[in-house]
Amino acid sequence: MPLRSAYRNKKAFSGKKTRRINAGLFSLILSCLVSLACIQLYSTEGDTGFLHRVKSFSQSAVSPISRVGAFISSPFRSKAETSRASLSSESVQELEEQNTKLRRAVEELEEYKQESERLRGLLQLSSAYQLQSSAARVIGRSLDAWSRTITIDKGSSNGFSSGMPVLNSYGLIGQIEQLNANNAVVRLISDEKSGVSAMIQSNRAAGILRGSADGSLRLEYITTDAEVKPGDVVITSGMGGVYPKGLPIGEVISVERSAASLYYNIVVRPPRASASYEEVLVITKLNDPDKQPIASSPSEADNQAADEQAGRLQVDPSAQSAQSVQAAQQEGPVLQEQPQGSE
Amino acid sequence: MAQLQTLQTTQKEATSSLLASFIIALFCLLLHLLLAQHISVLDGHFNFLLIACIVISFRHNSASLTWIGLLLGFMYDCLSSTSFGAMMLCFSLLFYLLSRGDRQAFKESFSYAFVRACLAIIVLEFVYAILLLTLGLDTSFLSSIYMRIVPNILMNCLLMLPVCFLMSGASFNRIGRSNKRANTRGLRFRS
Repeated sequence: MPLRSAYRNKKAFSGKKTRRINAGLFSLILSCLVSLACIQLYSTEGDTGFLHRVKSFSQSAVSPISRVGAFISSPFRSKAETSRASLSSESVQELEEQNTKLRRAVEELEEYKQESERLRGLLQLSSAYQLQSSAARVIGRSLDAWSRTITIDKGSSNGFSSGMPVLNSYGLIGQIEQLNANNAVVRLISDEKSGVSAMIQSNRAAGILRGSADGSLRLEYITTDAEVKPGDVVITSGMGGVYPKGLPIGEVISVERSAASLYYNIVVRPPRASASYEEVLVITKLNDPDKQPIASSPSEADNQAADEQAGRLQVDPSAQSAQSVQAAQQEGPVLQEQPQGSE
Repeated sequence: MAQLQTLQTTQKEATSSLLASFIIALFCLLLHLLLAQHISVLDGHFNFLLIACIVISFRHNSASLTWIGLLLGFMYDCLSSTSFGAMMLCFSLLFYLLSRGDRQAFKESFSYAFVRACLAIIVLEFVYAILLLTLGLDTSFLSSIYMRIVPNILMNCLLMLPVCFLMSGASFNRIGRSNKRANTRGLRFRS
């Protein structure tokens, strides 16, 4: 008897369990179907549908609770953000190293950029004046106060020769004085032994540009009847055939006239006077055959320039006005007495 | 008479149990609303409704649990920005899976309870991700694994630690050792 009742109980229990499982499974299937129906309805009904409205209503209903939650969690959130923002010491060190490397790279790039600009200026100058030229780098400067020279890294092996004009991106800076196979010494126009045939661009009044011991440039033999004012551009006149005509040299910064003198005391400042020379252009050949140098050395070229100045009316009468011509004839003897730029 | 009294007691217990489950679900929902969206660790978020899942799973049979899961999912979908019905499906499935486990073992052993809870969370997250992918709300399953699923699983498993500990009957000194004094409703320290 007890065995039968036990068997009956067990059967009843397993039947109950089976019914429970079936009910659970049925509920699961039904709830899945309901969920899928909701998904389908939500995706097809549009923004004004029933489920969308239920959603927006419930979200607006609980928004005060969300605001309270935001208020409660704000101190913890800011702390978490601060701790996230603060980095470990290793990361800081890594970032500092990276920063240093990047700064160095930026400085190098800045250097390359400036060099590129200078070289572009040289190229433009070369193409504007149709010069045959060769670029060189400045590798040295004069160490004493009596001479103003620079040394460039090219010499006779690069086709250079003594007397060749040297420019930078702003204009004329000097002339090759000495050279060997791999280097050349350039005498700057600010050197007191230097002399360049120059003229004022606006009124074409020609003179001689000389350097001085203090490094300033003075434009001499400009008669007082010419109109000269500060700011006037000074260019090469092309006389003597050493320097091509029209190369910028600088601008007038002061014009003085003494009572008894026939000439102005004009001080010229080259553009970017304080800039150091880094890349230069050496004119190897003048395309204009009339401008070919006929002097074999700088001193000869300087003398030639002075002679040309003295007899310039005969060489190029169109360069001067009638008054300037008369003044030049009057000053002729004065010119001859002037000390010439010679070594 | 005794049978009638037993039946009435059973009905009262069932009603109070339902009421208790409803209160627990509401409480968890409130907690979820207050804190869940504001707490984020490794881009993972807590799902406080899972606490309700674990606690309520002791109280009802599989059919009731499935419907409770559906209701919880409905509440979650009402408050979230994702498609309606996705979490309803996931929670129904979750509650059903929890109801299928060995509840006695769940009550007695913390490790069993924790492992079951973690498995349920993993299933929930993956099913949810697949649903989103199917609905076109997600583009890459692989990226959602790394960006959402794994962090969420980690966060919610962490959340399940204290819940499973409290709901299982092991002694608090050594986790995983069964405790014969575990009561029928879970709640470790309740006699």
